[in-house]
Parts: sequence; structure tokens; C-alpha cells
Amino acid sequence: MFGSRDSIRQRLLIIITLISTVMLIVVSGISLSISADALRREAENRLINHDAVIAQQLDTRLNEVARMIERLGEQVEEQGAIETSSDFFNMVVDGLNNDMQTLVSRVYVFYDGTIRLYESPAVTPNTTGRLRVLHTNIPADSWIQGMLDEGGAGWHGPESAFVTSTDELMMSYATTFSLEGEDGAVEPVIMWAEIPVSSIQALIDQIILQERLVLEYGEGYSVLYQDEEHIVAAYELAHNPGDMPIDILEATPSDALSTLITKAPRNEEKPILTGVSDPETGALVLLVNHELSETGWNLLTVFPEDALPTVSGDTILRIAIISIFSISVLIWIVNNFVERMVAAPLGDLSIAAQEIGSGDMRYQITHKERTDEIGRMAVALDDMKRNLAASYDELSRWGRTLEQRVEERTQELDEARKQAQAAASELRAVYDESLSVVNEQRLQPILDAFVNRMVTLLNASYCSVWLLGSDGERLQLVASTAAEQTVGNISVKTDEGMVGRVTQSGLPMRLADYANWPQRMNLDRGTQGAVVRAMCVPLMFGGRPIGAAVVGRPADRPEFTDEDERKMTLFANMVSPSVRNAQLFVQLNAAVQEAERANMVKTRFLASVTHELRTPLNLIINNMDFMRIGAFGDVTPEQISRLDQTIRSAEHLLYLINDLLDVSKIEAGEMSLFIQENDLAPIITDVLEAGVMMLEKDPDKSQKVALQAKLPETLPQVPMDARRIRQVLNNLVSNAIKFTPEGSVTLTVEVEDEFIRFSVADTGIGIPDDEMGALFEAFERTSRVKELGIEGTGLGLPISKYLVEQHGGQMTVTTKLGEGSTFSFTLPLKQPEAEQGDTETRLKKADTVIMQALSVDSSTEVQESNGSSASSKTTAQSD
Amino acid sequence: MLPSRTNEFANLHAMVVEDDAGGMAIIGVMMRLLGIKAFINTTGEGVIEMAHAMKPQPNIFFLDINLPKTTGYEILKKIRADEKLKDALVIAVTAQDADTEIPKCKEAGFNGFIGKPISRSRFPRQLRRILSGEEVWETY
Repeated sequence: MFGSRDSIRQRLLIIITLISTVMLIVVSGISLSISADALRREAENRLINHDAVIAQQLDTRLNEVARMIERLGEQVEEQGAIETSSDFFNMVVDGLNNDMQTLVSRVYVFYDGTIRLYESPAVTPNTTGRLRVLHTNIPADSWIQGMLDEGGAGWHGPESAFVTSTDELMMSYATTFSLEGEDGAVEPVIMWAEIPVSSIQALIDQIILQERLVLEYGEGYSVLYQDEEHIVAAYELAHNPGDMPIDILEATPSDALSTLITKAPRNEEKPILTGVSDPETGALVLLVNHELSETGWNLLTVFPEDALPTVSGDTILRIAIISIFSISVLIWIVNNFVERMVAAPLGDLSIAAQEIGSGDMRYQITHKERTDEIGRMAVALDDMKRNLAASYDELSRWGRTLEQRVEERTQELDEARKQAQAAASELRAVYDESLSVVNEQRLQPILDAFVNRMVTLLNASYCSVWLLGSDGERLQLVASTAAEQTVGNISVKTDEGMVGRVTQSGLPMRLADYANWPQRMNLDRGTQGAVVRAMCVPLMFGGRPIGAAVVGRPADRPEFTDEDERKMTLFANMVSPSVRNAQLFVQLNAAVQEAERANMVKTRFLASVTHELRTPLNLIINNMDFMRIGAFGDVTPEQISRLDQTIRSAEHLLYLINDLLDVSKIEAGEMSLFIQENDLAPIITDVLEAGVMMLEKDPDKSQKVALQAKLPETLPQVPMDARRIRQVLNNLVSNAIKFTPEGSVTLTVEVEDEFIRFSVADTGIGIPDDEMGALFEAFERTSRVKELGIEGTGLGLPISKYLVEQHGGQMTVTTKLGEGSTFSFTLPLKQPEAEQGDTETRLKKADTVIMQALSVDSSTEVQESNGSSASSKTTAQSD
Repeated sequence: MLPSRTNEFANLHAMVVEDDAGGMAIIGVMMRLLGIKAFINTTGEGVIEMAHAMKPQPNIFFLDINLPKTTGYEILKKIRADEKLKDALVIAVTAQDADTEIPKCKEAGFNGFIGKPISRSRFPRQLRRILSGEEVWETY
């Protein structure tokens, strides 16, 4: 158990436990001893007290009996006679009937040779007492005779009852006095009371009960004795009240008891216990004796010494428990003490040592203030800690130095990395710049960005760009950071100066001192001092130089490095295509502008030509028309027919010319409309009339095709280019007539909220699906149309659609092959805001408008639209 | 059969400025067909003087634009500047491209533009509209 692994605390605990166990045994022994003594003393005191209380009580009661007899005697003396009267009897009976009646059984009065006996009700049950008169001789050896002889008063007995036949033992208190008789003689009188010993025994029981004097232990007994030869009463100490006490049949004690009575300690101030040897058994008995002052009797208690109570098992157990508990507490306290004073500090120091051992030099060592071994150990540990700390500091200094070096190196590396990143981002910026340059199509911004960027990129003070001219022989200065260098006015040959050489060779070139370079051209006006360090790289495109770029630095800056050259070359390579593209773009732009100009010239030429064409057509058409109507003389039907044919051809030519000019204008963007509020009525009239005339000139068709119009009652003013809308309607109506062999052509005008819709519906041949796509494309006349022998330029529909759309309207067509087509277009009724000058919208009653189909022949159906009451006028008349 | 002549335009006294002989003939016939008395000036020079000499004075002019020594615009300017002639109707009658000329004519203060070739069938209506105060800007 003292193994090396056990802690000090464990060892101390074991020692403490051992010591405590020894202490437990000693303390328990002492406790037991003290406890036994106390028990014995208490038992002795109880014995003494027991005896004393009974003695005193007995004394008092017996004294009361004596006093009662004395009072009876005094009363008899005062009366001077022994009367047998009821008064005396009653007096005695009263005395007997008080609380002494259980004690006193009879009262006797001896006088003049007779004895009067008064019995208490306890003796004679069912009476209130009895008076008997006895005539008897008093035996000479009795105490009564002695009283008669000597007088006096006192206790007597125990002895047999005076007159009764029972062998009951009685105690008697007797008193004597004298009565003077009638003859003057003095007669002695004895009066006494008899108390059965059994009553005394009962009285003792009563006292024991009342005073709670029952001893729960012991085998001893008490004896009430008169002297060593006369016992009054006796009882066992452990008896239960009510049980029969020792039956003392004889008043004479045994020899052994007599011996003990003689040995009883008497006349002491304080009753004491005396130990004597029992004459009968030889065992040690304890004696205590009390004298009853009234009777002179004594009460002796005899108690075997070995019957005294001893320490019980419970007591031992209690003591043991208390001891164990106390020792546990003690162990706990000691343990705590040890823990606090030794183990815990040792633990603390142990932890401290561990912490210090693990390098925590700031660990605060406790217990240093103590002056004992722990304190010294703590101080020693603290010293060790300081020494270690110093060592650690030294070490960590070295460590820090090392770290610092590593960190420095890391920083250097980091710096290098950052530089690399910076370079990369620079290149990225170059790339980004080049991207923006690529998006730029104009040459000069590209070049200006190039030189400015280059100056920043290379920390240069000067940059210029030179590009080969179209002749390929001279390099033109096209961009420069030097304000004094006028771009466009300076050029060099390809074998001159730095840029010339570089452009010719296609290789970069660097000069540390350009100012003193022999081949230097004196072109660097305004760059004085800016170009001492010089570098020039070619601008390459498609493997061929297209120019060169120069950068310069003043003398106080370093020479250009390989890296600079690399950067510049890279940048130049990225930008060169853009430069070239921009150059090409400029050329292309010039070409486009040239083309546009040429287109415009063409249009103007066409316009001019058409003027020259219209003038003769004016003559041709009108003269033939005049001729046809007979203005120049009569014409035959044959002539009229030929004239119609010719007029139609001339008109066709005129329309062709107009359409060509229109198409040319549209393509050149020269077509402009003159939109203003216009009456629709004249246009509709013209269109219908033109249609009628067209039918007129084809008599065969005019028989088969009806031209109809469905118009609203009133026609609104419409914002439009009236000439152009008439052209559109003419085109649609003439097309419809052309493509309708028989049936009808109907022009419908519908006014909606926001727009007006024109529809030209025919019952003609319709348009097959495969022709619909090309319907509005210029010059698209299908072979089918040609086969039908229908004249046309193929330009009318595209122009019409264009014109409608330029008005903000839409043109649509619906068709069914063989059944006809409907061409519709809309025009907005609200003038585009930009041209809205005349906000007045007038509706003009279309009463002057032809609202019926016009036909050359009266047989042609005339249709009125919408029940209009407008009058019909025929402005075109046949001859 | 000739159309019936009306006296609809009886109050019109026209002066036509036209340098082309054919054109002159055409407009002459047209005027005659409509019953309009017309004087024709073939150079554009002396238009105002000629007009002043006319009895009654012309109340409608038909001017070609392209003339050998002057233009229709110049003549219009003179007409508008002349106290007696300034309220006369002035119509441009020309084979010039309408898209080009119509805006100019409107700007200059013409009362209408009738492109060549003149349409015999439409001309009376155009004239009627002009006389009613409407401006007419039309081509064939």
C-alpha cells in the first residue's frame, strides 16, 4: 500500500486513518468508562431518592393517623365522658371516613373495663361504620396493659389484631388520658387506631405509583422495620404496583435481614449507600436507610451490587457511531488541511512545472509567500522559471530573427510576384486598350490613344507614329505627343532616320543617345530634350511594315530595356491591325461616299433626263389626244383605235420614266414627301376617271369589267402627299383592271378612328402563293404576267408600298388564285407631330365626288354607295 | 365630237410663258378647248410689259420654269411685285422633276404646279380647283 505510485496525500490519509482508529478505541474506552460511572451514580441516586421519598411519605401519613387519634382523645377529655352517644360515634366515623380510612381500619377506646370498637366501612362493607362494645380482658403482656400501667402515647406493632379472629398483622397508634368518674375517681382511658400492615404495603404501592418511583431494574427489596427484630413492611424494588409484595407473615425478620438492618447506615445527615456483604450469599449488596421521624421506624433498601445497570449494547453502538462520525469528520478536516497545505500546493507547483516545461514562461507560480518547504519549493521553481524564460527569450529572439529573414525573403518574393502581376495587368491594360481601339473605326483616335498610352506604358516623354503613304515611299507623321509637331505636314523617306530604317528593316531599334546619332533627321522640333533615349518599333500588318512608332526619354531617365522593347512591340502588334483596319475603313468610307455621290448624280441625271423625255411626251400624248377627240379634224374609228394604242404606249413610257426616277430616288434616299392636309375628293375623282379612261381605251374589256366605288358620305381631309397617294391609287386601280378579264374592280374607302383605309378589290386572276413573296420587289414581273401580255414596269407596287409606308401606313394584299385580289393600304389620320402645322381637320361633304361607278357605256352598272344622295356627275365623257 | 364649250372660264384671261414651240401649241389648243383667251410669251422676257399691254389684263399665268434667259421664279417675283398683277393666279407648268420643283414653287409663292404632260382630261378640273382658291400640285 505504500507503493511508489501512491501520492503523498494517500500516504498521509492512511497514517491519519491509523491514528484515528487508535484514538477511536481509546476514546471509546474512556467514554464507556465515564458512561458506566454515570450510570452507577444515577442508579445509586435513584435508590437513595427512592427510599427517601417513600420514607417521607409514610412518615407524613402515619403522623396524620397519630394526630387524628390525639384529637379524638382531646375531644373525649373535653367531654369528660365516654359516651356511647352517636355524637362520639359520628366523630370517630368522621375521622375514619376521611382519607385515612384505607389506612385505619378500626378505632378502639378502652374505658372502665370495656372496649368500644369502631370499624371503618372498609372493614364492614355496606355500612357507614359499626360500633361494637367488647368486654374483654386485656392480656397482661400486651402493650395495652403496658399503656394502662405507664400511660403515654406511641406506635405499636406489628402484631396480631386485637380482637379479630384473623391473623392479620396490625400497626397501632395509642394514646392515654384520664377521665374523672362520677365518684370522682380518675379512670384511665386508652384510645388507639389499628392500621393493617397490608394497608401500609398498599400505601407504599400508592406512593411508588404517585411518585413514579418504580425501579425498572434490580433484584433488591426494601424493608420498613421498627428494629432489627420487628419488620413493618417489605417490598421488592422491581415489583409492579398492584402485585403482591413479599408476604411478610411474620414480623420478625430473618437472621440475615436482621444482620443487614444492624449494618444499615443510620443517623447520617445525608443518606448514603453502604456496601456490605450479604450474610446469606456473601455477595456484595448496597444498603440505604431512611428513618421515619414519626414512628422512629426505618426504611432499608437492599440492592445487589451486580444488579446495578451497566452500559448497554445500544450505548456502545451510539458511542461507536459518534466516534466513527467524529473520526470521519476529523479525517476529513485533516485531509482538507493536508490537501490545502500540502497536496494542493504540491499539485499547483506540479502544474506550474508542467506549464513552464511546456514553455509558458508567464505562468504565475503561487505559494511563494509561504515560509515552509512548499514556499521554498515554489521559490526554487520560480527561479527555474526565470532561468528558463531567459533561455526561451534568447531562443525566440533567434527564432524571430529567422522568421524576419524568412518574412523579408517572402516579401521580396511577394514583391516580385506583384511586379509580375503588375506587368501582367499592364499587358492586360494594353490588351484592353487595344480592344477599345479595335472598336474605334476612326484612324486618328486610334493613333492618339496609341501615342498617349505608349508614353504612360513606357514612362516615356515622347511618342510618335509614322505610317507609310499610299505610294509606299514616304512615311507620314500621323500622331505625336509633341504639340509642335504638326501631324500631316512632316514626312520622311523610307531610308531616312530611325523610323525609315525600322520600317524598311521591319526590326526594332534602340538608341542610348539619339541626340548625337549621326543619321538623325532634324525633325524633332518641339521635342528638345525629350528624346535622348530612343526606341523605334515597326508597325506590322500581314507580315509587312505599315509604319513605325518612336518613343523617347530625356537624358535623366534610363535607357530602354529589352522588356520595354517587348512591351512596345506587343502593343504595336496588337494595335497595328486596328490602324490598318482604320486606314481601310477610311478608304472604304471614301469609296462609299463616292458611290453615294455617284448615285445622287445618277438620280439628278435621271431627273434631268426625264425632263427632256417628258417634254416630247407632252407633245406626243396631248397632240394625239387632241387628234383623237377631233380637235384637228375628223378621225375615223380606225384612227381612234390606233391613236388610243399610241397614247397608251406613250403613257406607258411616261410611267416607266416616272417609276425609274422614283426607284432611283428611293435608292439614293432622295425621295421626299410633302405631307399636308389634303382633300381626298379630287384624288378619288382623278383615280376613278383614270380607271374609266383606261377601260374606255379597251372597248372589249369595258364591256366585261365594272369599276365601282364604295365611299363614305363624307371624305375627311387626310395628311398626305396628295400627288403620291393619287399615284398609289392609280397604280392599284390600273393593276386591278389589267389583271381582271371580267367582273369588277371596286375602290373602297373606309374611315376608322385613327386611320383611313383604301382597298382595291378585283375579281381578277389572283396571285399564286409562290409569287406573293416577290410581289413588292422592284422589277419582279413573273413569267406568268408576261405570258398574259400585261404591260407594266414591275415598279408600281414596290413604289406604292414604299410611299404608303413613308406615310406611316401599311399595305396588305389578300388574294385567291382565279378569284381575285384585294390590295389595301392605310394612312394615319393624324399628321406626324413634326409636320403638324395645320391642326384644323375639316370634313368636306363629298357631294362633288363621283360616287358611282363610271363606265363608258350606259350599260355598265351604276352603283351608289351608302345611299348617298349626292348627285352624280360624269366628268369623263365619251364622244 | 368636240366637247361642248362652256363659258365656265370666260372670265379667265391667261398669259402663258412657254419657250418650246410644241408646248406652246399644246397649251394653246388646251386654252382654246376650254374657251380661255390666252397670250403666249415665248421667252419669258417682257412678261410684265406684255401683261400691262393686255386688255383686259391677265388674271392667270401659266409659267414654264426653265426658260432661255430667265426662270419662272424670276417672272413670278416680278408679277408679285407688280401692283396691277400681284393678285393674279400663277401656275407653274413644267416638265421639271416635280419632287424637286414643287417645294421651290410653293416656297416662291406659286398657286399651283401642273407637271407636263398636261392631262387634257384633268386640266379643266385642276383649273376649277385653282379658281376656287385651292392650290393644285399635280403631275400626269
